[in-house]
Amino acid sequence: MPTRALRTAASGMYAQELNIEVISNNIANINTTGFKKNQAEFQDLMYQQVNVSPVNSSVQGATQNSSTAIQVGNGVQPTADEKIFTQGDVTQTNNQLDLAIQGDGFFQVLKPDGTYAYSRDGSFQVNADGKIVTSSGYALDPPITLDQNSLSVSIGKDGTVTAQQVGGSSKVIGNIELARFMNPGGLKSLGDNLYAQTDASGTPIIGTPNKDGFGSINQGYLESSNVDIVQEMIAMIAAQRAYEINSKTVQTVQDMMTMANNLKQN
Amino acid sequence: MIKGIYTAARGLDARMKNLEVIANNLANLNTTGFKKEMPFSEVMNQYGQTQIQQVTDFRQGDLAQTNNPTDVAISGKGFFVVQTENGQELTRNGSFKISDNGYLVDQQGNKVMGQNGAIKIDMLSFEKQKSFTISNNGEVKFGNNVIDSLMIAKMNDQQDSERDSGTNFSATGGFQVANQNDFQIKQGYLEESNVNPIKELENMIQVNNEYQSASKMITFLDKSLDEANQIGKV
Repeated sequence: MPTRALRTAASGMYAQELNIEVISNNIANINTTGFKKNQAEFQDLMYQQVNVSPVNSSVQGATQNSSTAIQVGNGVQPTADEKIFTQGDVTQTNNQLDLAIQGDGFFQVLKPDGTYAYSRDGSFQVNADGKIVTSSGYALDPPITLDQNSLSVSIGKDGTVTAQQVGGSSKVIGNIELARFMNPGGLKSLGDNLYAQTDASGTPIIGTPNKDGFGSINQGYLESSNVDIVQEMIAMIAAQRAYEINSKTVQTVQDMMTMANNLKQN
Repeated sequence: MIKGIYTAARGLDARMKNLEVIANNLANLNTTGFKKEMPFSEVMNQYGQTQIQQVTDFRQGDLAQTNNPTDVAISGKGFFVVQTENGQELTRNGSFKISDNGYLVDQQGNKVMGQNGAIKIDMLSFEKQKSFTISNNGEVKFGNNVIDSLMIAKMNDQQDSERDSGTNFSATGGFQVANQNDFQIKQGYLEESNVNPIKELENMIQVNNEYQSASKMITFLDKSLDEANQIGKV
């Protein structure tokens, strides 16, 4: 059936379209702090047994052979839009509440609905209650609160938050903890640079930064996105060409069907 | 002469099916672990009968770095073994993840087999140990604790296999554990599809031309028969 080749090519074009969408989202977020790039994953569709009769079997008088069935595939489908959690470049900002994680781990924040979200975006602020919150206003968890006596904070590589008090003394006001996942690629993107755990990511493992495989916290730095513009451009070219080549299949099927239509000429 | 028309018609049918094979290869240009299907051809067996031969091209695809610890690629010969509802199937697609109950699974949720059964990751050991590594010879480790080794299989006869979705193959001819020297496991890499678009385009042009020849043959035969029908007309 010629329509199978058409449907197969259409599935290929659809897959590449999705690929371009993923790439364009990566490029759009090239300057988003803590952004992790996505990669579309594909998988072939089911196969069907199709019988082919050997062309000259009747001429030869040969018996039909059992090995005349071939397997023909039905195309491709997208399976996953996987996050690639490689380290982004770390850039200095000198802002005391800008934190970059160097290595594995996520900041854990509490959303207003009571669920947890995870983020690599360490551009924190202090809200009206003195709580350390993300730029979208979600509080770090465990919460860290500055009181009115705190002048400035210094945050160690292990996440210890020390506040310089009025009068020159200093006191530890909390510890930032990080969450790690077995399969970070399985996290769900919530937007706002936040991720949520899923069955695929596994449950979070909470720990102290700079210990047991957790990354270290760097005060005064932010993690840039890990999107590499050259790589994305190349991926875009490849996707565009793949789209084009699948459209060539459509064209060829059409050519062949026209020929079939012209078999009977009068 | 009428037989000739049927022969040419079967030629048309075969070319269209070959185009379907090419279309599927091209659609899977970016499918991890995909192995291309060669357009089938007719061969003469030892009894002088024609036979359809379909060959899967199992050549190595390029390895692309992802840095995801649960992505693995095989460099060399061999297949990962996954437990599906149709029994154990072989695949070159090493895009794995950890299921909610701690098993190493593929994208469809099929368990990945180790040499001592399905590979299960103990979450406690994950909390204590630093890193999850898969070594070159397929050992799955947490820090220095070896959990199991990936089962890498080789088919008894590579062409005696059936395709299934998810770039899986079921080895109808059976499989055995592959020789340690025949492969290397690369953690943080995925094997790309081995489809070469230029080669596929070339095949497509060829199929198109052959289709045209066969259709010309039919119109020619049709014309000849028409002329034969004119004989004796007054």
